[in-house]
Amino acid sequence: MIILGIDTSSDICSVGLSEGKDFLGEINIKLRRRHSERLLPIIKNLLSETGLGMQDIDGVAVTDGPGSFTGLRIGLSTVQAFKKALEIPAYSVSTLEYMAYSIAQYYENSILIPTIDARNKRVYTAVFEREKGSDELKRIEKDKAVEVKKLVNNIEKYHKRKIIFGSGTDQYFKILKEAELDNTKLIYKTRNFGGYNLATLGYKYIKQGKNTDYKNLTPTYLKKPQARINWEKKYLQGG
Amino acid sequence: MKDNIKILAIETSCDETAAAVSKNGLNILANVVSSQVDWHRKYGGVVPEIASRKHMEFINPVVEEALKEAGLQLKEIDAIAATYGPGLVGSLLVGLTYAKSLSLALNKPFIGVNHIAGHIYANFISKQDIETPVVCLTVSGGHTDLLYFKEYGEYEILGRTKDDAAGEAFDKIARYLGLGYPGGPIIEEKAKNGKEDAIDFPRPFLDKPNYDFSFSGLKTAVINYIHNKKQKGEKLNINNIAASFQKAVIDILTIKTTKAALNKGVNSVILSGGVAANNRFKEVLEEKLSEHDIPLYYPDHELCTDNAAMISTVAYYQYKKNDFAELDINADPNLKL
Ligand SMILES: [Zn+2]
Repeated sequence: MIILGIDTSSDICSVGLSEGKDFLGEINIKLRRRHSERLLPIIKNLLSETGLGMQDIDGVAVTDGPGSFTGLRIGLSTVQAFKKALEIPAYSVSTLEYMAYSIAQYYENSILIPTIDARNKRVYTAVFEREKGSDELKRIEKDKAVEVKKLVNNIEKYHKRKIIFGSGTDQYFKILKEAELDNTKLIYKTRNFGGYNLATLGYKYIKQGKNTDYKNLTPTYLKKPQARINWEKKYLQGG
Repeated sequence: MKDNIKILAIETSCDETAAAVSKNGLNILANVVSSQVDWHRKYGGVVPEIASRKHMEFINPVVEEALKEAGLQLKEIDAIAATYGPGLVGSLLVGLTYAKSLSLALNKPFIGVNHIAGHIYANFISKQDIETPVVCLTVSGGHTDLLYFKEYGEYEILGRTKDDAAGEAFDKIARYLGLGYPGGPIIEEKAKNGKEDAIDFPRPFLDKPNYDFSFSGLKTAVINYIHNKKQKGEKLNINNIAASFQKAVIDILTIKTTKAALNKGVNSVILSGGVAANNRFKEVLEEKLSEHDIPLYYPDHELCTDNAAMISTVAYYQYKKNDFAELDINADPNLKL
């Protein structure tokens, strides 16, 4: 089963191909705001370099957030179109799960805490665990946006080795370092998690028969639009 | 060249998610529009972030509906087209990316279309034997352009707005009067019960020899008028304000368009864009042009607002000229004709 993985949630565009769990290829490039121009040519190049065509793809995996809304929409509308045109299953996965899954192979018996900078001393984060003797990644807490200080308080309860990483960790490294959490490893600058990892994560779910429907191939918004928040403040005060 | 070219077109430049299928450009097999206007009305205008969210939800169902209506499978389509500007960048990107991705997956050519050209070509769908050369006035919330068409595929810009678009002025005045959104139909409705000569609002640029427009001065004059009335504690006659403002816009557009038509010696005048849905405007312009025996054409009502049928028609003319886009084409929110 050949799976294409697409992550456009950050300024890095990651595209990868796997056959089952086997590596076929990946292209990860820092693009800043040029995903709209580069994503499809990159996919086309990767296919051509691996000797494959669009019709060889059996499924697509894509991140649905947190991340840049514009970037996510580019990845997700591409996947909606691929699902439609190629009549293949698609699977959308949290960016945080993709991050944790990508490094989980290196950290057995650990709590994995991916972070994405959400600005104003806040991060998007979640908690995962890779138990001793297991290859599986288990989700312990759902995705949320929290203040860095709250994140610190929240994870004190975990006594296993804690791995904190991602763009939120880079941005607030000092705060996290000064918190002096016990049994904790802060990884600085792990920004690229790789399209191949996303493809194999997609394989794991698609193999189980999972297939995200079109209406959920949309970004997961942890926040309402600003116009809606303002409107509610004005018209729905007290309820 | 192949016969019976079937083009699937997608349009998401503002707050309508639309898909259409045409055969040989003018034969519209399907035209599906999912309007988000109810989602935006309570905010008094289009909220870009909400528009992008809605496009993501509607894009696939709208495309599926268009294919169903056309009775075609995706693989029977010869080319995929999408609007790439002008418009809201977040909105444009959803339809453009979806369409480009279809084209890559299906290995069919991709055509990037200018939204404003779409509005103009809507005329050729509505009436299929318009005699060229023509002068075209294209007016909407985002643009006001006066064009000269020697033939269907070729045009020259005679003039355009130097500040606000005419449709933008309607929206802003309606919002200022607390009438809601979108402004065009609301003002037209209020104007029906008002006197057009009640208030003497300015008609900027009418003294200029060129074909350019300006609406921001008129908008400011209306807002100042309302402000002064309110300060003096006088009652506002909304209907009269709407009628007098609308008449000022109509006069500006009518005089400039008629002048262009006469100077260029055209056979017909065509209208496009949301303002072409204003009945009072069409009435006045038609009467003025009929004094010179020049017929006025405008698209059917459903083709005046944003739709993808018009995009598929432009795409067909581009297809015939091999005017295809590469996969790296980006959205251009400020795209000009
Ligand atoms: Zn339009």
